[in-house]
Amino acid sequence: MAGNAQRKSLEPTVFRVDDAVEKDTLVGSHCAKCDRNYFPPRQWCAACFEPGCEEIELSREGTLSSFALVERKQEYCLVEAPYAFGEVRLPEGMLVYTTLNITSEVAANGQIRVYSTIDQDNFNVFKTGQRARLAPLVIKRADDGADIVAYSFDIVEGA
Amino acid sequence: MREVVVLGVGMHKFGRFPDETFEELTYPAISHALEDSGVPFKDIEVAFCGVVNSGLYDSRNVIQQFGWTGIPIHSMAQASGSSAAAFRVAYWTVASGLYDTALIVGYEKMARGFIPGTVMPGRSHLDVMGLDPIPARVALEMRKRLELYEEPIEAHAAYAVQSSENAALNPYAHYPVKRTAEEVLNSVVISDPLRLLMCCPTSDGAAAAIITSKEKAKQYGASRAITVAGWACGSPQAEDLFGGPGAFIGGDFKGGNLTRRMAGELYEKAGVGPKDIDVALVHDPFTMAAMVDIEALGFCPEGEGGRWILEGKTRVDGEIPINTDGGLLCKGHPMGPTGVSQVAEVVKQLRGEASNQVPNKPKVGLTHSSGAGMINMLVLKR
Repeated sequence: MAGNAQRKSLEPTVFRVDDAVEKDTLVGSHCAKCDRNYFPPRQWCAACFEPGCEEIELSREGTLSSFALVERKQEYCLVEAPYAFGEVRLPEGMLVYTTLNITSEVAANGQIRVYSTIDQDNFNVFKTGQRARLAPLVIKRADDGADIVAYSFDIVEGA
Repeated sequence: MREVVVLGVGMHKFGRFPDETFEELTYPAISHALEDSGVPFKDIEVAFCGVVNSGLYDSRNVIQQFGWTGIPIHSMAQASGSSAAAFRVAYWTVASGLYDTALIVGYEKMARGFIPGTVMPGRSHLDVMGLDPIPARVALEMRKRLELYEEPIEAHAAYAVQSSENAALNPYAHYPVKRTAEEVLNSVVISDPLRLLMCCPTSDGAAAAIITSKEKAKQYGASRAITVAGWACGSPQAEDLFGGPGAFIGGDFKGGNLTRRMAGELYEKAGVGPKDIDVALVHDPFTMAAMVDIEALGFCPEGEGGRWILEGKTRVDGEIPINTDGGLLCKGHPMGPTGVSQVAEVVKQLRGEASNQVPNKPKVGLTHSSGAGMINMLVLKR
């Protein structure tokens, strides 16, 4: 891990962080009665109305179903614009809205990634159908010094 | 349920009116609707307002500027569908016999810029992570259409041009300005592939309608009455969500599933089919939405919406004229009054009084409104 800062999830109900970055996970839910899966997690199944959906850990890889470039950010947004906005379909069946990153460099231990700034020029690297992998982003620093982490996805090069 | 008719409609121009109060915005809309209907204000038995951004007393002030008659006044917020929902509930009260005559008014004053895609902007992780802008969500779906259906981007330009030409004939439109395809295709990128002139503006404005029972209408000059021949409304079912991301999706632009299901109900209730519709006012905050709508409403096959528009089939003299008033795209989209403004345009079309009249005396019109992912639709008949 980079540094010793404590890591906290921006929204633990949908994204859980672990001591090891590669174990961070999106949280979904599963209805045991009708076998449907949800993200974000639900207590009651939307389709068969059964209470008691179980929490599940979702796959860390999915397929890019669409993408868009956001040129301007809203004032409360902590991601700098322009940024890539995507929709990733996970093997569990659901679509997840996410920011997308282009990795320009990965350090030897695989845990320190350097991202390219996304703009009109390199935006064309995105293609629907590409594989996308969960890649948590530090989105801000809390008052107590902890890193506040949000989910995001990297495009898996060459996939 | 008894037969209900629309007797009068009225509008305040859509645009930017920072200095006007809600009373000033609604005064011309309501007074024109009263005059148009021949119904004196004292005969209004119940009032429904459609507005999203309103204060504690606004709905009362808006109605009571015409008199303190002691009637029940309701206010409904359902995002872009607020007054469409208000109209539908007002219709229920008259159709059921609870009241004879109802007034519906939508009004709104909006900020410039994006409409936030979540409930409390800045409070949800989606906002902070940059995942709330509605235009970006629409851009995702637009890219899918362009790839899946090999839909030409020129179809989006053609729709924006058509809407601008319609709006240019509408004295109540926010942007009564004719555009060219080049202007649309070269307008600033909002969220690639979506460009500025493929998006509706946020607006201020008001629209009003007066409805009554068919029987009661005889008192007021029923010759210009337009019948509410069918209605449908609903919220998404689990299948409409395409597996997610759940309720965080606002509009029905993700394939139009809910519209498709509601259209089936609507046509059955009204005893008509898509081929019987002479004019349709559909929810088009983005060019792409018009394409999803005309497919989901059964006017054209799935995936053909863009090509239909390119071929001119949705123009005022086309096979299925849509949004003859300029639509949300160019008439403007103040949320609150948008739904009733659609009713107003269809009523004018069916009376033969529209400023951009569909030829050959249209008999059957349709309104389609979407707000917060919920649908309200009507079939109106001459």
